[in-house]
Amino acid sequence: MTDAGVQKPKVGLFVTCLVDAMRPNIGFASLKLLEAAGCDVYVPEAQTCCGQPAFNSGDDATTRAIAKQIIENFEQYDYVVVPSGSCASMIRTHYSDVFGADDPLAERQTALSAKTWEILSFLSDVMQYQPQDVQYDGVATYHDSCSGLRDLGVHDQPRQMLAEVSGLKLAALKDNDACCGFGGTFCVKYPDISNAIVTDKAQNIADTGADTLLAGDLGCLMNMAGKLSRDRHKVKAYHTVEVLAGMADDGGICGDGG
Amino acid sequence: MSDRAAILQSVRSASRALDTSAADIAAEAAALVADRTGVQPGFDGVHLTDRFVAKATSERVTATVDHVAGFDGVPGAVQAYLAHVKRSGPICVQSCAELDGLNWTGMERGATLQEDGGCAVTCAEYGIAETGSVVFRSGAHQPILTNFLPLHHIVILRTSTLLAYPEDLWAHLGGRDAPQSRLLTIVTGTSGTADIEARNVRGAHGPKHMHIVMVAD
Amino acid sequence: MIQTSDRFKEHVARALTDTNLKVALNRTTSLLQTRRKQVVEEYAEYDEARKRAQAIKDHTLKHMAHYLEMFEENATAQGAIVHWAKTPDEARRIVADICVKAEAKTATRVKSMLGEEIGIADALKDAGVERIETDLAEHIIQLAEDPPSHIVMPAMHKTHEQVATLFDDKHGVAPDSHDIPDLVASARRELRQKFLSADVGISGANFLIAETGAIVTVTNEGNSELTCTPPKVHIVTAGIEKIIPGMDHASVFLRLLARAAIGAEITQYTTFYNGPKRDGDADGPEQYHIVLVDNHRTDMLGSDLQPMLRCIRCGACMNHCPVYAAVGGHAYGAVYPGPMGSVLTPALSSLEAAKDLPNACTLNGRCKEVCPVNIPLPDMLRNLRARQWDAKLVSPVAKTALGGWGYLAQRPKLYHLVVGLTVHGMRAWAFGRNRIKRMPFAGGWVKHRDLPRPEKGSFMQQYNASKHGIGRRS
Repeated sequence: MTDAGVQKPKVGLFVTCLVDAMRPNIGFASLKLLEAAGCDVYVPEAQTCCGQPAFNSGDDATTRAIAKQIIENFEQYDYVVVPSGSCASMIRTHYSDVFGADDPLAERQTALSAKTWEILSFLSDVMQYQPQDVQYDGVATYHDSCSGLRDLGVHDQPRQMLAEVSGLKLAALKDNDACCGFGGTFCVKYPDISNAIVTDKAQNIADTGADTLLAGDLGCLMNMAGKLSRDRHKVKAYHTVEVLAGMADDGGICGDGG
Repeated sequence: MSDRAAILQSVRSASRALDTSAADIAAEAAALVADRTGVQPGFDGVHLTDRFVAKATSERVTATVDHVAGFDGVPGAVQAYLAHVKRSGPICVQSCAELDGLNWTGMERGATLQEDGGCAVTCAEYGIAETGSVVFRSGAHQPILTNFLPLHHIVILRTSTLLAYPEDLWAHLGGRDAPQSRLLTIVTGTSGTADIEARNVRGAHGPKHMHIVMVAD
Repeated sequence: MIQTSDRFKEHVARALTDTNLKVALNRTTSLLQTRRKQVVEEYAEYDEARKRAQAIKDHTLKHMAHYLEMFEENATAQGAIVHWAKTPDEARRIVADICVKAEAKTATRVKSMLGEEIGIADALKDAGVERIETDLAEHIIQLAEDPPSHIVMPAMHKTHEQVATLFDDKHGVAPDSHDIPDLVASARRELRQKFLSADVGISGANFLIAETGAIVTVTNEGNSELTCTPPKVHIVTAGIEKIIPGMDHASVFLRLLARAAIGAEITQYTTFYNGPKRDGDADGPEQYHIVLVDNHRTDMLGSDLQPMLRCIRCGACMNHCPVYAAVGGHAYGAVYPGPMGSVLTPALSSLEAAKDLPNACTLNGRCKEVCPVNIPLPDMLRNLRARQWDAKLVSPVAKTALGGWGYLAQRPKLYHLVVGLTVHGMRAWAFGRNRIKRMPFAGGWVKHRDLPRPEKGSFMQQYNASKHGIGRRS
């Protein structure tokens, strides 16, 4: 919460391509939390993708072109906030890989990258925000998505924030920091390997006895929820922000409906 | 062009070797290891011998340790070990100044180790407390195979030769200008392998049992 | 070993249905992870040691020619005969030549991946020398006629039941039982006399110490010393990147290697070989040769692949790789599997020959996390993908799909239109159900997983509608 009279931080919300297409609820939950945390939130129209598919396929030129668009549309804000560890990391840690030191946009890119945040770490570390009076009845297990964890150090923040949710118990997930097998284009290029990895992950999730799965990346969630659903495990999968915003009531991703 | 010349030429052009003098390179290298304590596990004030024994007898090393007040006690300690593991018959004792003059009555010392199952007694030149290791160097009085062929290896270690860290050992050995033995081996416990299903098993090709007799001096 | 990385997908298909392999990998990888984690937690100075090891390697690579010449001078002064080989062919020729001159009939070998890399088995065959692998895992794969599947535990792909069957069949005296300790005892029995009667002993080197001319082997079984002491001739084959300045520098690496590789503070035998038998020595080889091998290491030097030359071959990366754990080492079709193998194999062969390797990775980053010398493996794999892209090695289908995606992504209005239509289409395709089980163009996904039914519009559609007071659709 900001003090009266202090200017609210201007946040550019970058929802990510997956959230835009497959689960807008995460975008709206992010909006709600950011506003509750005391931010002025803007949703630039000209947002599409962070460029990860191109980057991970080795197409640096297209990555740079997409990055340029993000820079142009978001650099005016105090912060860029993203409900995804991998997309936030793409902007924050990997954009510099496609902008050489001599690149005319290098300085602007560096500035943008420096103010880009994954949402849970932004709410916690920058805004020191803790959602109040949140209710969620259930036992949840938490998966640490790789980019958020290893590139951005997102680990304690979601746990601390979830700890304050009434009715919610957390059950530890075996190998919580092991990759779920999504890996962006990996899961469609090598579907059978991806399946082998997510099969183990789904088993670990089922073994916790939790009725809810939480994580900070929709790609991972779709992958795990899709597998849990195919294997008929009754687990509701939500993005952490959906629970924190009190908007986790539709049965989750690949769920049975609200 | 010889392979040697070709390789060195490739290395030089690839590493864009600057004209750094040998002295400067040496100084840079020395600076990288000047602060040894930064990488050496601390002992927290534990005495060298205690550290050595704790490590040597730990699960990862699996040696057993005995203590004698002087070299005179060595044969007795050896006999006690042999009785403990119920082993009779000739043993192989390293022929060296420390062990030759001792009272080995009742023990046949001339065994060879060609057949498996043997027992050998050898003198370690140093001990390293950091890891519970003992050090052997090949030489006229140190057939290296005597440390690798037996099933039971009894190591005689003088407490005065106990060092804290391997870096102390290098300092003791006098650097590159001192004569180098053919081989120097730092032995930490008994031979083992985890090659089958990562299961740790002792007694791969080398000794299966190590008994360290520490001689106070 | 003949590289078959170009058949990665074929190997993977086979691996994923191999139940024995799954059992073997399940029994090993998590155990290795746990051991490493424990011993690293106990080593307070771990992060400092890692930083220092990286700095030492970087310094050495910067002055590599200086250190290689220093090593050669000092090793030669100690009685070693130093040879240089630019290619595996040349390295094999040198080894075969030494064996022929020594009239060798048998050679014992200590595990060395560089030896695999240069095809030392062929060199010995050419020289008419019987090759006896002594490392337990190498002994197993020699009997099974398998290539190695891991750089530290080459027989990781075998369950103990499979090893038992192998030993029952091939050992002179069958094992006393099928329990692992008895299998080890059987190998001990089988190999003991062979150590003592070999004509040549061949090892690799974990490190080459420039200051003293010594080589170091880091082992557990005792087979290094038993291989390198009895024979008349000891041959060392080593990649030139193994060079480090001095003994104190070696100590930094030794603390990291055992911890990263096997979860121990030190291996049972850390042995420095300085030269041949000295006058008066009770045992030792009369001849001592060191073969320094390049094989594309100089190509990596000075390029974006240089960090790979820091590798100390601990295997931690593959122990923590979800892809390796799913498919095993043979799938990679190369001497070096897993993350480090996926960088090294294209470097040692070509981008084309190892096309899949940099791509069969989720970029999860665990490998980089556990690497004791901070090699940025995911970054390097991605850089290899960039090289493949520039070399036009990406499939036309992928290129078209990504091209289409990139085109749309740079045209937001068109993008949002297309996404809106796709969302609408997918939602209709779901036929009122919450999950989609089948969908055209999504075969790779729906083969194994369900897709969620999208909401009634994309986020941008709903957001724009709500801005105009229409309210959020649900």
